[in-house]
Amino acid sequence: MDAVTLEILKNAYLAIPEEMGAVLKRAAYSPNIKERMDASCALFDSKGRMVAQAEHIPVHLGSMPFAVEFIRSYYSQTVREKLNDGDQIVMNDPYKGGSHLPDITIIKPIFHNNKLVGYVVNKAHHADVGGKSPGSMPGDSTEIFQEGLRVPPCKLLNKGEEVREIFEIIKSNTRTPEERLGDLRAQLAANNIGAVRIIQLINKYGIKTHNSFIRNIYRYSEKMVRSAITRIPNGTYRAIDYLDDDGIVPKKVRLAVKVIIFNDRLNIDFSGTAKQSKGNINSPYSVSLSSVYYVIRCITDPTIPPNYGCYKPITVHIPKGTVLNPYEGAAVSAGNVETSQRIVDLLFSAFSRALPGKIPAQSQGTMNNVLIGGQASNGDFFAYYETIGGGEGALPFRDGQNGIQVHMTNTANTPIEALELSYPLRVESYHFIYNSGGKGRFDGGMGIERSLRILTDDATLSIQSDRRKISPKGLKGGTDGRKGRNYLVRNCKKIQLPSKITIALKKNDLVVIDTPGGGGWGRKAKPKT
Amino acid sequence: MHISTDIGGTFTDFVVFKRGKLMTFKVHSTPEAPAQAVKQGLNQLFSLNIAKKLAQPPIFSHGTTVATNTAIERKGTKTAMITTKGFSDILEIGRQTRPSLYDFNITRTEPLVPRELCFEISERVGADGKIKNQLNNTELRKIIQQIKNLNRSKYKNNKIDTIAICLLFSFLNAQHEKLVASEIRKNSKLLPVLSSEVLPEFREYERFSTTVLEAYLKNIINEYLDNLSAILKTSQIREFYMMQSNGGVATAAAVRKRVVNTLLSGPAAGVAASRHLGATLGLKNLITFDMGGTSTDVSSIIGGEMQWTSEGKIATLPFSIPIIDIITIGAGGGSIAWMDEGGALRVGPQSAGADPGPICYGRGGEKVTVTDCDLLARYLNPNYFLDGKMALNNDLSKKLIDDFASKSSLKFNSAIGGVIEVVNSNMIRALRKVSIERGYDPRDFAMVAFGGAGPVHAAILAKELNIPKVIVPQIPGVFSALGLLISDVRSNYSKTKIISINDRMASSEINKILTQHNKKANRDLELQKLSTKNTTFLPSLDMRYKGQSYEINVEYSKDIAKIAKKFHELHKQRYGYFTQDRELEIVNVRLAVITARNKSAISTNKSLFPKKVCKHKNRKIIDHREILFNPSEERIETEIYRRDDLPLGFKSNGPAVIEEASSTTVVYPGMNFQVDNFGNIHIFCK
Repeated sequence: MDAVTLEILKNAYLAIPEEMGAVLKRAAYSPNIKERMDASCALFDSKGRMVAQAEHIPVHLGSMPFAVEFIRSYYSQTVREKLNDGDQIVMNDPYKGGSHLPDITIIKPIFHNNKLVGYVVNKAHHADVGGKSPGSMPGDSTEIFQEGLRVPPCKLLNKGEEVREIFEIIKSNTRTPEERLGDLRAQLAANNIGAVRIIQLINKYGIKTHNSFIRNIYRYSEKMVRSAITRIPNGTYRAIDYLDDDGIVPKKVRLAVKVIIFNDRLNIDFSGTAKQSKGNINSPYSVSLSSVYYVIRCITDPTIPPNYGCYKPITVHIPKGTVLNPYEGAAVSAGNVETSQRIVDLLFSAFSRALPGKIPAQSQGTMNNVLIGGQASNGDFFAYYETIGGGEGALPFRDGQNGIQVHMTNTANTPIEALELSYPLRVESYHFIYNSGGKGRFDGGMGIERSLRILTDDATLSIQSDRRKISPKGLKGGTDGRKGRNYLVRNCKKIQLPSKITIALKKNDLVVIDTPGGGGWGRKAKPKT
Repeated sequence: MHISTDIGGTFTDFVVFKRGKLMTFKVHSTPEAPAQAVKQGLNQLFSLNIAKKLAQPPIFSHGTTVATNTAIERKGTKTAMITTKGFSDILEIGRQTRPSLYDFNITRTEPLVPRELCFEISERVGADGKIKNQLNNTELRKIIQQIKNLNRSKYKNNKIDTIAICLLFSFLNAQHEKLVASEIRKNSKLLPVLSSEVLPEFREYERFSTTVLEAYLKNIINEYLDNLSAILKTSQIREFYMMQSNGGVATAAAVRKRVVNTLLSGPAAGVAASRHLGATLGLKNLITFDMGGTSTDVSSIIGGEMQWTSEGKIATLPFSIPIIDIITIGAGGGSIAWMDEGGALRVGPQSAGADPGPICYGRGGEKVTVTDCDLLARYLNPNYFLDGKMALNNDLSKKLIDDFASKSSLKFNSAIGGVIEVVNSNMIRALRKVSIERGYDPRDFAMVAFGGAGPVHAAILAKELNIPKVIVPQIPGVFSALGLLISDVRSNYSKTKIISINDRMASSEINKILTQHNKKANRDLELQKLSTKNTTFLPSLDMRYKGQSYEINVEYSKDIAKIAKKFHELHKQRYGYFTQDRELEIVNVRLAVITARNKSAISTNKSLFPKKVCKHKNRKIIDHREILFNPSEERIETEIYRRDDLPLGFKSNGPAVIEEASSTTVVYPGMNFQVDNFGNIHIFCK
C-alpha cells in the first residue's frame, strides 16, 4: 500500500472510534461519561485484532483486545452459539476480559454481505453497579461478590431487538437504574454508528483495500514500535516496588519486573510479584496489560496508532495467582485505580537504566479516590466521588508538575463551587503542600492538601489510596517525594486514617487528604562558593 | 463611507465601502505596533479620490489580534491576585488534568500570576450566599502594603498595576470583593478587577482565570485603543467599533470596560460574514471553512444562527465568556510534508509560516508545503498570486519536490497529489467534528469557503463529506474584513442562580436578575451612544436535569412550562434523549443585547454583496492548464477563468479554475458551478 493511501485511510479509520466517542458522550446520562469521558471506543478486525482506538483514557488501553478475544472463543467454543448481524454483547466480568465491575463493555460484530468483517467495541465506567457501597468501589471488599453485579458475556441486543431480561437484571442490581439504562443505550448507539461507518468505508474502497489496509496498518505500527525499541540499548533491567498494603492485611505488597530488550523485541516478566491479596488491590490481567501498554506508548512515539501491530514485538508474562493476575473471585476494585499506577512506576524504574534521558522519577503513584455518601439534612441522598492530583515526578529535562493527575487517569476535578452547591460538604483548603516534592536538579512536583468539612449527620467515607507509607522515589540522586496522608479532625483532635478505609462520619468532621509529592531527578548542583 | 480593517500576522486588510462599491487593499502588518499599519493604510486611503468630499464622517470597524497575541506571548502587565484563604493555588491546579496523555514534552501552561503574587485573605462566603467568615481588614491592609513595597523594590522597573480579586462564591455575594476593591482604591493607584463583575458565574477556576486575563490585558488594550483613537481622529473618524469573540462588535468604550471580550475575535468576523451571506441567500445551515497559511478555522451556522460556547481557551487558559464555537486546525497552506518511520506520508503540524514560507515564495524555504503542491498541481498561477504582486517560483518548488519524491520513493505526481490528499484528510476530521459528531447531517449544509487557500481545497472536501454545495463569496481572501462591516453590536450579561424550576420563587428570582441585567445593558447602551430603538434583548437560561453537570441554553419565556418543553426538545436533539419526569434546574440567567447597526450606509438592498455590473456577457476563458486532480490519473486540460470576467448567472462545468486577486477557486471534474445574482460562486459537488 502506498504512503498516501495509508495515511488517508489511517485518518479515515481513526475517525470511526472518535465519532463513536462523540456519540457516546452526547447520548450518555451520567456525568462520569459525559464530562470526564471515562470511556473508550475501538475497532477490531474479523479475527479479533484491534485496528484502531480513540485516545480517551489509558486505563482501558489493554483491556479491550482481551474482551474481544474472550467473547470470540466463548461464543465459538464454550457456548457454541452463532453471532448474528444486529447482535450486541454486554459484559463486565474482570475474569472474562473486563477490568473492574463498573466498567461495562459492549461488543458488536459487523457483517458485510453476510460475512463477518470485524467488531466495534466500547467500554464505559458506570457510576453504580450495585455491591456493598454506593459507587461500587468499596474500600474494604475481600471478594468480588461485594463489589457489584457481575455480567458474563450475554446478548443485550439479539438481531437488533433489546433482550428485556438482561436489561431487567442490570436495572434490578443498581442504585441508579434510569441512568444505567440511558448509558447502556448510549453505548449501543455508539457501536451502531461505528458499524455503519465501517460498512461505508468498505463500500467506498472495496473489501480488498479494507483488508489490505488492515494488514498494512499493523505492519506500520509494528515497524514504528520496533524501530523505537531498537533505539533502547539491549539488556536486562529489573525493578521492585511496593504497595503500602492491601487495605486488610497491614503488610506491604511486592511487585517485581524483569524487562529484557533484545534488538527490536521486548519481553516483560512479572515473576517475583506477591501472591494475590485478600484486599481489593488485585489487578486483573487486562488491567495489568493496560499499564504495560501505557508505558510502551510513553517511551516509544505517542503518535503511533494503537493497534494489534504495536504490541506484536512485546511479550508479557504475569504468573497466575499473583496480585497482577489473580484467580477468579478475588476482590479487584482498587486494582484498576491504584495497582495500575504502581505498575507504571515499577516499569519506569526498570526502563530508567535503559533510557536515562527519557524516564520520569516516581509520580504520586495513586489516584487518591475519595467517596463520601449518605443523606443530607433535607433527606436527599448524595454520593460524591473524586480523585485528587499530586506530584508528577521530575523528568530528566524539567520539573515535575504540581498537583496533577498522573499516568493511568486524567479525569477533571469537581469545582469547589459546584461541589458545595450539590453536597452537604464545605471545602476548607485546596492548595499545594510546600516542599512536598522531591528535590534535585529537577524537582518532583508538589502534592495537594484538600480538606472537606462534613455538614450532615449521616455520611460514610471510603478512601482508596496508596503511598501513605512508602514515599515516591527520586531518580539519579533526586530526593524522594513526601508521602501522602489521610486524617480526620474530630472535636479538635487529629485521627490518622489508613490508606484504604470505609468509616462513618459525624457532622463537623474535617476530612483531610494530603496527596504525595513526586520524586526529584538528578543531584542538585552545589551552589558556587 | 465605512472602513473595515482586519489585522493579521502578515497583512493588514482594508475593505472600504461607499455607495454600493467595495474597494480592498492590503498593507504589511506592523506586529510591534499594530496601530501603525492602520495609520499607513488610512493615509493611503485618504490620498485617493474615493475618500474625498464625504457627506458624513466615515465609520470604522476593526478586528485585531492584540489581545490574543498579548496573552499568547505573555506580554501583559504585571498582575497580582487576592483570593480566599486556603485557595491560592487554584490558578495553577486548574482542573488537575494534564494536556497530553503520553507525551511528557507537553505541560500545563504557567498561570499568568506567579505564585508569589497570589495573596490569601481570611474570609468566606458559603454556598448559600451567607458570610461564614468575616473579611479580615488588617490582613487586607498588609497585603496592599506588601504589593506597594514590591513595586518599590523587586518590581521597580516592571510595576504591578492591576489586582484580580477572586473570592469563592462572590457570584452569590460580592460584598467582600467590593470591600477589597474599595480598600485598594483608597490606599493605592492599583486597578482592582472583580471576579463578581467580570463573570458572576460558578466554577471558581474558570471565573478566576477569566478575571486574571481581564486584569492582565486591561492596560495593554487601553493603551492600544488610545493610540488608535488618536490616529482615527486625524481621519475625522468618530464612530469606531471593534470585533469581539461573540461574533458582534462593540464600541471602544464598551471594549475598555471588558477587554477580555476581544480575545479570539480574529476568526469570529468570518463566521459573522458567513451568517449574513446565508441570510441573503436563504441558507440556514452552513459550515464555514477559512483556510489560511498556518491554520484553518472551521465553524457552523445552524438554523441561521452562529453557534456559541463558553469554553473558550487561549494558550490553554480558559475564559468562560460566550464566544463563537470555532475549531482551529494547525494545518494550512504552509504545512510541511514529511515521511515518518513507518512509511506514511504526513503533513503538519510543522508549518513554514509566513517566513520563510513555502519554497515557492523564494525566501529560503526548503521544505515541501501544501502551497508548493497546490502550485505544482497547477491550481495556482505563479504569475497571478496576490494580484500578481508576488511571483511564485515554480522551478524551485519543482526541484525540491522532485528530491522529496525520490527520497520517499514516490512518483512526482503521487507526491504532489498525495500531500494535497493527506492535508485534506486532516481537514475532513475537523469538519466532521463540527457537523456529523454534533448530530447534524452534512447533506443539509452548504460550505462557505474563504481565506487565501479555502476555495482551493473546499470543493473536494465538501464532496468527501457529502456536503452538496460550496459557496465562494466575492473577495474570499478578505471575507473576514467584510464581516466587520455587517456585524451587529453585541453584549452579554450573565449570573449564576441555581434554582429548581418547580420552586415557587423561580419566576420572581429570574425576573429579579433579568431586571439587573437590563439596567446594566441600558447603562452600557448609553455609554456607547446607541439607541434602544434598534436593540433586541434576548433573555435566556442555562438549564440542566438536576444532578447533571453540564447545561443547555434555553430561550427565556414567561411561561415556565414552555421553557421546560423547549429544554426537553433541545436535550433530545443534542443528546438523543430526554427524561420528562426528571427535575429541571436553572443554573445561569443570561441576557444577550443586540443592536443592529445602521446598514443603510452599507447597502440599500438586504445584501452587502452588491450586484455587479458585468462587462462581459460571454464566457471568457483566459487560459488552459494541465491540472492534476487525481494523483493516480493523467492531468486534465482545464479551463482557467478570471473571476472579474464572469457575468452574473454564468454557468459552466468542471474541471475549472477561477482566479482572482485574493484567492483561487478549484472546481473538480464532474462538478458544476454557477455565479449567483450577488456574484458568489456556487459549486455543486454532487
